Amino acid sequence: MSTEIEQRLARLAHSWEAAAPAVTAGEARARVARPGEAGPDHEWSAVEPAPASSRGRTWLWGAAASIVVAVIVAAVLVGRPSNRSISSAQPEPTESTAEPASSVTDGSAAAPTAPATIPPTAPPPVEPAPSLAAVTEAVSSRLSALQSFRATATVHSSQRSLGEGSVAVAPESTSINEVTVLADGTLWIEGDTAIWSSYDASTGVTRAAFTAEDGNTRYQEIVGWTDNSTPLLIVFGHDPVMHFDSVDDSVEEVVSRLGRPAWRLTLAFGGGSTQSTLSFSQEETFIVDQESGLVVEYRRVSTNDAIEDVTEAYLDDLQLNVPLPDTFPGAFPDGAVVDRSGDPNGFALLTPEQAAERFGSGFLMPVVGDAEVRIVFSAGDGLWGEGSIPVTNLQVTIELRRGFAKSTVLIMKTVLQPDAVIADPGVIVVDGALCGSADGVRCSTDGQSVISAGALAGMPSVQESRSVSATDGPVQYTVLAADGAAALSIANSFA
Amino acid sequence: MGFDENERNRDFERFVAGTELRLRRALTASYGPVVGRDAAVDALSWAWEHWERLQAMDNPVGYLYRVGQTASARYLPARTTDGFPAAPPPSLPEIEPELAAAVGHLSVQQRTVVVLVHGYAMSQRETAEVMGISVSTVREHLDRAMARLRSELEVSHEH
Repeated sequence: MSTEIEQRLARLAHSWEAAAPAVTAGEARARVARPGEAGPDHEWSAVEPAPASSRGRTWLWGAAASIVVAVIVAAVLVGRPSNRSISSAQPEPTESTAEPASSVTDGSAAAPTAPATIPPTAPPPVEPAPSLAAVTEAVSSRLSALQSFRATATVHSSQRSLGEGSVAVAPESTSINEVTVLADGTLWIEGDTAIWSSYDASTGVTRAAFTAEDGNTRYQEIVGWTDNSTPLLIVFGHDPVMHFDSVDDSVEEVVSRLGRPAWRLTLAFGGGSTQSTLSFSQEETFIVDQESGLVVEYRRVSTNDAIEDVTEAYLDDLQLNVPLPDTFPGAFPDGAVVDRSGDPNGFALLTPEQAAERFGSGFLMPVVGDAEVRIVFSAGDGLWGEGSIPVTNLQVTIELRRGFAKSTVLIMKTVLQPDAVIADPGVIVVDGALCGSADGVRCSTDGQSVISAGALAGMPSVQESRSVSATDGPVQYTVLAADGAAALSIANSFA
Repeated sequence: MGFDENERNRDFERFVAGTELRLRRALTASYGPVVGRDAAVDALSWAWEHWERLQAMDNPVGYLYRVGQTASARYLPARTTDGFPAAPPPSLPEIEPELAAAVGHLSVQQRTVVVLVHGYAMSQRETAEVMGISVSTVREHLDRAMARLRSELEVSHEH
């Protein structure tokens, strides 16, 4: 529900928007060239970027990392026009007859075999919509049983001006790729975006072969990637494994997509509390395959300052629990010139003991049960508070995974860099980590607790939707799970 | 201009198209529209100058926001002493002067969060990403900012 202050903030922000017009790429480039003006770079040590390549080299996924968002606006490759739009509640019998078969989930893809193919099911009648909670629970259950999938992923993007004389302001574009995804994040891609590309979740290495504009094949290898989010979003245009915690005003309908039963969920917002005074709005629609729990079709329409961006993405030829192709992870030809980059120390899978040793005081493990566990440690330099104290931010990410259903635990703290001095009396060091303090002795972490068991019982904590955040002195714990009950269960299990 | 330079230009333009709005809004929320926009230009110019470095980053927008923060120091001293303009420049309409002043009394992070979330309708997750902080920190700043704004603007009770 909107409030008076929120409405006024929206008006204020809107007036600022008008007073600060968009920055163009040309303007940014021109400022680089402006003589006598030092850039911020020389002062900039707050964040530790991964090692960089030399200028002018072509990085497929490196460049892709910077256009993850842009893929929503402008697709990676131009080419085939889209002839699809998101399905309505009506079945699509023509396409369903042409649709390659999907396979049955058998939950045994640790060593997947050839998929058991079944024909598409008959289009179901439109039924009363289930509750969002029921859909969420069902999706989580289906994803838990899913170990891998392969699909043809299509992403189509367009951008046009609104109003009279509406015109395209960017070329429409479409990319099509065949993608195989394992539950641990391992990827294999072939299609428009790359001749082939891979990400190995066990090593953090991504490889690619792609055709450059000069027609030559180029090869690339980047090490130290902690996850597959960049290539995943580019080739799918959305995250096919979606948790609908934020879809709080959606309407769910039972629909049919390509002859398979599916749910449709919609999320819309516009201009916060004062939609009429702001020019930004957005609507996202998700079609979720009931058999697999995957988002098999996605549409996003966003409007900003009379420019409408539309992204449509969909999966075809969906096969469940399939193995990686034999060509994974991709081989570079003998003698090929391979662009290599990345941080060799940027990724390492750790045991709980190793993570505890690297994180130091405050590391706790949740009960794992029968889940697959993936633990990654990262550290980055930063500045504390308003930017006066050089610090290093430490983070352990613990993934607890059953199939594609994943819960994530983040454990974070901030330590002082060597030789750094604390001049602020409101900041203290406890067990080697920094925290704000009202009395100069203890961390200021008073608050109610939602955690009743385990090592974090009674600690200041808050639950919001499917996340639980807790603070124990200078250490912060965040649990993100499929739903609120699962998040709280994990939060109650730390030892 | 060679192949690589053409491709670099194109990639950069795509990047700007996809990130500029969030970056400019975040820096505007932090420092007001005049300084914020200047800082956004500086941050994106840094991006162009260090394009390869940026490509290797997990959260380039968050990094550029902080580049913009550094850049803003170049513009701020002549305009304000606390990092936020107490009043809009004469060329700007004075909309919501009482609120603008109250927002100016918040810390940089508090006002950035409250303007992004309630002013621009960004999700807490998006706000956390662009500012390079955790979602729980966003929530904390948001709660404190709203409490202070309610107090300062004497809004007694809201839901």
